[in-house]
Amino acid sequence: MKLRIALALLVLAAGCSGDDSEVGSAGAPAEALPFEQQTLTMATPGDVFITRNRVLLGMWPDNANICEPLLGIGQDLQTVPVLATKTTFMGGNTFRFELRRGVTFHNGAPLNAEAVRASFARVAEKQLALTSFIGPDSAKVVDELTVDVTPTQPNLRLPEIIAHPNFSIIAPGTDPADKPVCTGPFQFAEYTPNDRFVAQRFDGYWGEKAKLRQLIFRFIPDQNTRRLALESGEVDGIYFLPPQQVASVKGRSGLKVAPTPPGATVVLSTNLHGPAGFDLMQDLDLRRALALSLDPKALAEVQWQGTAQVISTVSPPSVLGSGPAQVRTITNDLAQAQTILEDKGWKKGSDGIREKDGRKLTLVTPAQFDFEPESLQFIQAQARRAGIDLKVEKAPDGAAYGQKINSGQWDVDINYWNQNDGNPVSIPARLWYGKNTNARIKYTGVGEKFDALVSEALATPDTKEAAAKSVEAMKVLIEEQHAAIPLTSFPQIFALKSSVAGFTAHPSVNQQPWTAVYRTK
Amino acid sequence: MLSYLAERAAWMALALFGVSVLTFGLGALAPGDPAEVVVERRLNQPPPREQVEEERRALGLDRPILQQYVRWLGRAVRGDLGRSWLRGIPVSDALRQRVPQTAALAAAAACLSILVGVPLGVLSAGRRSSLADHLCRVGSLLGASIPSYFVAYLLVFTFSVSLRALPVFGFGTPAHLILPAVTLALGPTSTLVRLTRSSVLEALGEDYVRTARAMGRGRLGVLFGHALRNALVPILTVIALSLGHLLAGAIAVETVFAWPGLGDLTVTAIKDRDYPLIQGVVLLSGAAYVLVNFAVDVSYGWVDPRIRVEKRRARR
Repeated sequence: MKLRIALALLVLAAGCSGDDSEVGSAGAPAEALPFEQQTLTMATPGDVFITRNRVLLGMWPDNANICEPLLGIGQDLQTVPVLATKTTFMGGNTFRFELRRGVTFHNGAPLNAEAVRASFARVAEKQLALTSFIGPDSAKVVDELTVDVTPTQPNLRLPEIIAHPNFSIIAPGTDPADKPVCTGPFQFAEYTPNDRFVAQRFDGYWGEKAKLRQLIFRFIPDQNTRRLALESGEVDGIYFLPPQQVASVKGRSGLKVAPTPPGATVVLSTNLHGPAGFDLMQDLDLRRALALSLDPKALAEVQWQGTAQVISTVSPPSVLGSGPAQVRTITNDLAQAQTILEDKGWKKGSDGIREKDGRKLTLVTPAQFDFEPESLQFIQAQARRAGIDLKVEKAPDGAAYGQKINSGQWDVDINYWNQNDGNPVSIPARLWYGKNTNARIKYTGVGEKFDALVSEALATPDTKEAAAKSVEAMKVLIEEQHAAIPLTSFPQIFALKSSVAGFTAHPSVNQQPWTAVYRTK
Repeated sequence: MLSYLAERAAWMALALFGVSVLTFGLGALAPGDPAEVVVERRLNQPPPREQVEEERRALGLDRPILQQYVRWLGRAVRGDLGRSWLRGIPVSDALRQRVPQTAALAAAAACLSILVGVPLGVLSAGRRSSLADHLCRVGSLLGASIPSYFVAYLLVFTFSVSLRALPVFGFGTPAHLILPAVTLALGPTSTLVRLTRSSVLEALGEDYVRTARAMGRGRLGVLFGHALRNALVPILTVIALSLGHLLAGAIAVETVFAWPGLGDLTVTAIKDRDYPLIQGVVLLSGAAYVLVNFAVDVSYGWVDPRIRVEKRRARR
């Protein structure tokens, strides 16, 4: 019995000590494994394909590069040609797309305008159109390889919006919910709900062939298990490593981290037109004091371990070209914040929270339900230094959160926004634009000047001009109105075995390319 | 015996009725308008009022609550638990996909806890105050106290990351079953060790044990043939309760090991506020619990003849 106990303790001790030599191989040689062994297994947080009747199987949110849209977005979030080689604005509200020649679907059928028309009709039917205003008859066949697309409402940002996996072109007569048949460098092999999705190389691909023979997504909901699966060698990489774990992964031999370029932003939004009880943010000076009380640099360094960057716009800087520098930072001056609040008659109480005429400076903050708690507490602590109490009321899910925001019964909202397409005015138009009638979550009432600039950005076919107008609109939103307080732009972080080569993290994780990735010995 | 069975069956039916009321009440009392949630999820944007009203009529939510309950119960009895809001498939299909995995895990954990827990409890009682007894008592106390997710990570770290002996996650092979089953079995095993020990110790003080010893029965024969047999009723009760818990889905264990069973389904259903799915899981778990307890109630009469005799006397 004593021997058994000793053995058990030994095993536990071995487990607790960790063994770096077992994990991967430090300084992996660059020589690629033979093609037969080129299988890459990535762990993702969970099987989201199963929801929404599998209409985006293999496309979103985990993109196995089975399907392709007409246009894509590159590392700089600018659109790049994929299945359409030329895009022409035809005037009015119509864009013409000329298709790439010689492209075939995985089932051997040729890519043609009819396939594009049917795919866009499917987007409308399955309600995947986002803010594109694609209707069932929006796409019209011009000839074998030319298609015209006219949204149901004016939308000259269409080319950037359709560079999203939702707008993938599907082989006619096939149902992606059963088996996605498209044109991408990988083709569907196997899907076991809640367990795995497997894709294999498509040898007839029109572009550069994939180096991997097989790409496997394994669904692991628990983030600690994902990390342990990587350390045990069962998977080659994991999605969404928490920033707090970056240092420890870097410290383990055989592993490496690969952050995406910042593609999402953390933004505080203020309620400019709240009803009684939620009307404090109607005062521009209070909004200004709130902005000045926050230190995004400290947030980026402490909470994001230096992987995030301070921003002055609500969109990631890369999508705006050279524009962001034109928007001034409105944060990080605690002394001035306190002076403003003192001048306005807000005096600190015994609990450190300011009050005036018996009313506490407490701001109801319905943060997004899955917003990282540590960052939330950090932001709360920063506001509290100035005597502002951010009273967080987290909603249990997205629907409840949307209802809360749309009811107007809130003062400040903290959220993060993803830039998943190349549209430079996407985030301002989605959230603050008064003429947007189909948004799930909407902060209204910035004013006519802002709306006019967003309208101009939406009405120009030129992306650079749209970016410039978007920056102008953000100057109103941020500098003039303080309706939005941008804090940081942050990456998503992949952790990989060191033996994985050719991987370049894309700023939009659901557009991650896998063609150049391979495994080395 | 038949009347005993009928009485237990009547209690089971009453318990199932209670479960159905609670399950339906869960959906009815939940915050928010189900019709609005269904339409919003379908459109992926705030729904127009007319469509919400149309959906409310289609779901029967415009009827009085009692009528809604009777309609829901009628369908549930026929196996129709509605459709999952988010997945768009019948709830019964979603449950059917997950039950085999949970049943396999629960069966493995139950077997493990019985095969380990009962002999250890008997051993502990038979060697009272020995080193083995002390170790069993301390071990069972620890096993019952440590949270299952902590045990899960510890086992994964030891056997998967360091020793590379077992897979970290997933299902499909016997090797995948080992770590989740051991983790899940730890709590029930600890309870069984302690309960078996105390029950057998009590039996060991009885006259029939002394008589058996006086008649020359061996140590093991006395322990297992006389003491354990007479101590089985409380042990069976604990096994039944444990099995009910295991079938209800071990949420933490299934989440840690990415085991696609009812526990994992429960977590995603709650996250998505998918009430028909939550109702389905709760109803199924409640029914499993009640049925297992019914089976154990019935087995009492078989295990302990005194219960049969008492029932017969009561009837006279």
